[in-house]
Amino acid sequence: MRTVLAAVAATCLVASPVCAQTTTDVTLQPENRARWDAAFHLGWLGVNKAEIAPEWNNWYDAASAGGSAAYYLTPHVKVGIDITRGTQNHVYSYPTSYIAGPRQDEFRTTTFTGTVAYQLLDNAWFHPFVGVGIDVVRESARVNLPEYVFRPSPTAPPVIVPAQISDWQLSVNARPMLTAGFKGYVSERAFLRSELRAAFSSKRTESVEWRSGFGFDF
Amino acid sequence: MTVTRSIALFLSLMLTLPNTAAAQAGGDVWRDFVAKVDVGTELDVHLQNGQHFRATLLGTRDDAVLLQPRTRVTVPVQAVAFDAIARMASRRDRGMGAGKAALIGIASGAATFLAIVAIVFAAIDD
Repeated sequence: MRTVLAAVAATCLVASPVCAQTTTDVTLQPENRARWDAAFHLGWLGVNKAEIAPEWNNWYDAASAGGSAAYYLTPHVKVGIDITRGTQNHVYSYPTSYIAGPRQDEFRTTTFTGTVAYQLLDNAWFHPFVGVGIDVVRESARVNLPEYVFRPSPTAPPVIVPAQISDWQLSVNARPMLTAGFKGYVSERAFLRSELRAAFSSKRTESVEWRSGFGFDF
Repeated sequence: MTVTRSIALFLSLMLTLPNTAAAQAGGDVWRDFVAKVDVGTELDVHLQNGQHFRATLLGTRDDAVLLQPRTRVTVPVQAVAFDAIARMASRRDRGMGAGKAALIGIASGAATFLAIVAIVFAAIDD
């Protein structure tokens, strides 16, 4: 009896691939494909501050870190949200008044992004993608005026202008953004992702960020 | 001169068209091809509908070839009708060479190093 059962089981196993229905197109997506992905990332963020900083120093750089999650509407199209925090950094500017020293505008940003991305290729180990979205940038800014000493004349005593630091001022702006990059899988579900993102206003490129990280499909 | 060249180009195209049509006619060509390929061979497959994928040859049926697409997440074995195949070739000799692998490794390493340096500089700037 066992022999018969074993023979039937073996026949079924052998017959499985042969039972595949003849087709004229091929399915490259698994039936239980992952619908979500989540990732963590580190990056390098450049922000344009041309409205306050001199031309030679009108971008500031900051390290950034954050996370993202996305839902696949189709195997190629996904919608996602992302949060990125930039480290504090600053730009210098020099007021025209001779009784003030260099001015340091300090910034720190948190960016919330909603994206729609198109991912090329099917169920591959390497997936390039492009996307568009909206950056909602929450920026805190303050002005730091270091202590400054000047002499009105060679014989006059020096005048000391004490250091001043303003309170943090919060602003929120929404900007369209573009992204392009790739996901390289290291296993069926785990991937490394690298991308370049840029946000724009009607006048200029407002920020550029390169980021890289790792994540999982689930 | 331009007219002569145009006529020559047109005639050349007309001469090549029948050859292409003949090569694409029917699935018999691919049935014969698959019969000469070892099971387990990796194939580069183009279908008439424009799909392109790599797959491992598992066997044949009267009307179809049994292929296991080479995907990241495994998908079911596909029985692809011979008539649906536009082009198929063995990928036996198309593996990644040591030089290409080394180049990719060096490029990845350099990119990672530069990225880390950039992030560190950004973090400690000024």
